[in-house]
Amino acid sequence: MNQEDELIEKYLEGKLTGKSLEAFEERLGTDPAFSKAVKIQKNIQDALKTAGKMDFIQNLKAIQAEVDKPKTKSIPVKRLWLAAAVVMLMLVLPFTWFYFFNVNTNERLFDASFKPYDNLIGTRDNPNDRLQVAMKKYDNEDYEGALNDYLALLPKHPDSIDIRMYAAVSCLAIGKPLAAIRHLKRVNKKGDHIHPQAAKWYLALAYLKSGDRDMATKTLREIVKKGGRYTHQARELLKKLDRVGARVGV
Amino acid sequence: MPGDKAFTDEAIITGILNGGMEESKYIKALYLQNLDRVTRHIELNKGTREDAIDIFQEAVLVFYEKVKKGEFRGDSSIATFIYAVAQNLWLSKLKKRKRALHHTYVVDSNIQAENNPELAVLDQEKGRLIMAVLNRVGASCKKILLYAVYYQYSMQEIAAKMGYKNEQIAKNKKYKCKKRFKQLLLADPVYQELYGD
Repeated sequence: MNQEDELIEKYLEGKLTGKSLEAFEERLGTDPAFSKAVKIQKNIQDALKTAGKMDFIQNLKAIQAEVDKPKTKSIPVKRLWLAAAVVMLMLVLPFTWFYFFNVNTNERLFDASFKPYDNLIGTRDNPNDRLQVAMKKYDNEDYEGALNDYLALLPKHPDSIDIRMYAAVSCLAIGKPLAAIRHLKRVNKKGDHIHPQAAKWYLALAYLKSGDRDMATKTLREIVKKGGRYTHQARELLKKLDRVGARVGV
Repeated sequence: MPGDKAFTDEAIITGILNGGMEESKYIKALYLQNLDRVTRHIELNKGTREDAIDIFQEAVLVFYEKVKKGEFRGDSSIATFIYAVAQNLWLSKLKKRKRALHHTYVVDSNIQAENNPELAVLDQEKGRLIMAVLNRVGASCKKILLYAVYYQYSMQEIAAKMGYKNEQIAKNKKYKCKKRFKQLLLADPVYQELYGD
């Protein structure tokens, strides 16, 4: 940048002081060409600020579009097959009833409670950034694709809580609860991050999905005890688990 | 999604002041945490859903700019501030609509664009011209200029966001982009008409 432009920019940003400011203002009053250059530069700065406001509002509109997007959850074909298999087995192998009842109940409770975690990272930044690409896939419910990106990023950023958190939720969305538990345990070990309540909640769901109802119950009780965003959901899920336990005599 | 309480006021303000890669995360949380309360108020006071969202977004913009300029003193919570700004914006919009209905404009040279239809049209035309010129400088130039001038990111942050090796490259790019923007803007006949240079 040439020196004059740089000087004008500093003036417009209010960064000129003392003698530099005095000299600048004196020249402004005596040099019409300089005065015109300052005016043009000011118009440019104002123009870019106006454009910035419009850009900012566009970003808010993108958030609103996400809020307005109906969250429909389709039942994966895989799960339909599983349900059919459960029914068949219950017909031909009555003695496995107890086991499959539990599996089916866990699945049902999980499905009723699981909603993908909100994207708090956003997608408006560098479109070439792999995390942003992954978050776009996540927003588009391509959890398999997003998970591949998160797993590729983790070796470079092993301490990134954000990546691990969204990797865990993606694992849950595609039916990999054990991998989700591994990631979430690491997230829960770290204290200084923005997802502590969410990490506990998804850990409870991961235990439920994996069939470990005891650990799910224990984690849900911890959530209720601590309070926060997921207290109500945790309490409701605990009630349902209690009812199921009473029905099968567990 | 709405009602997410994961961020404290302090975290949001610090997140905005720090800018950079993380900023959008805090803006989103701020948005989601305040959306329902503000839009409900406007909808209960003769506003449509579209009115409510427009006003809420303007209020978030006011808050964001105040924080960026270091003018948000934190005398009230973010929620109270945004609610109050939205309330004022909505009242002024309602008054404007009422005036429009009765055709009782008072033209005053000191009046702001907000209350003056001619100035508002001029502002809209300026906005259109700026966006058209910005789109002509190319996507990456547009980003660099907005990051530098509006979002006030440092050259280091711009380099990181744009994937440049160092801040000197970002600085050179910014200079070239600004030069190109200036050339295109000055060469546009609409610019002469609107700005009278």
